[in-house]
Amino acid sequence: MKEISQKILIILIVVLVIVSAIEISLYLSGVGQVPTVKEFSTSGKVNVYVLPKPSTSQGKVVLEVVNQTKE
Amino acid sequence: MVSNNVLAGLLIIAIVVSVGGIMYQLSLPRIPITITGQATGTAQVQIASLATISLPTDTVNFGSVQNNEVKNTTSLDPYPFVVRNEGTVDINITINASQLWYGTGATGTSTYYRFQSAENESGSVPSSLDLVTSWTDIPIAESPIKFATRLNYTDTNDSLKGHLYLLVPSDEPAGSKSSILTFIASQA
Repeated sequence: MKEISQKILIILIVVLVIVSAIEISLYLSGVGQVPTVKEFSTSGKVNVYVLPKPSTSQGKVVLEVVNQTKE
Repeated sequence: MVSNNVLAGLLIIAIVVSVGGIMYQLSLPRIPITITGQATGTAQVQIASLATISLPTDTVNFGSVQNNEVKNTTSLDPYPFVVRNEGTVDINITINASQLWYGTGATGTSTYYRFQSAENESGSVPSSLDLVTSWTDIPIAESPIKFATRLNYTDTNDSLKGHLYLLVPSDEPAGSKSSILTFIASQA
């Protein structure tokens, strides 16, 4: 009779230890706690259009006027 | 047959574990327990700490520009970025961007692509020291730098402007250019 009671007692104590250990590990892992967002990022876009460069160059027109002689 | 010593050891372990759990509970914010004739109650709620931002204005179009031209958003044309704190805590914001220019000396972090921050709603930050009030080179594909600190989370004063400054490189090839700016928020 005495031996059976002790076995039950041991089983109960072991269960108690396991349950308590699980409870603590759940708390430490954050289960059931309010979530916290510590960092967040978002992006935007910048658009710009670069126009082609206007091109300038110089040329030279050479013209010679020749006097016409009437016959 | 298990000895009494073993039983005592197991009991001590159980007690230590249980006491540890109780002490952890007590270290959390406490609910006051009082005995009184008045009908009083205490409702306790824990608000999640959210560091969240949005960009109500998320695109800045500068339109057509020419080489060597300078453009910025301080005249609100084009309108600058608007960054709003959507969270439940004050936040710090950092910024970086992807490459915009391809001209000589402008492919990385340079004076050709700069930013500054300003309040969009007055009182959004406690002090002007929380802003970047002079033109600062935007990090290109580098670690982000300060955009603002201690941005308020209350709805009426929780937004900033992100002004931009562009100097078009003299040898920038013609065509469409774009850059992605990333704003990173963290709890202040």
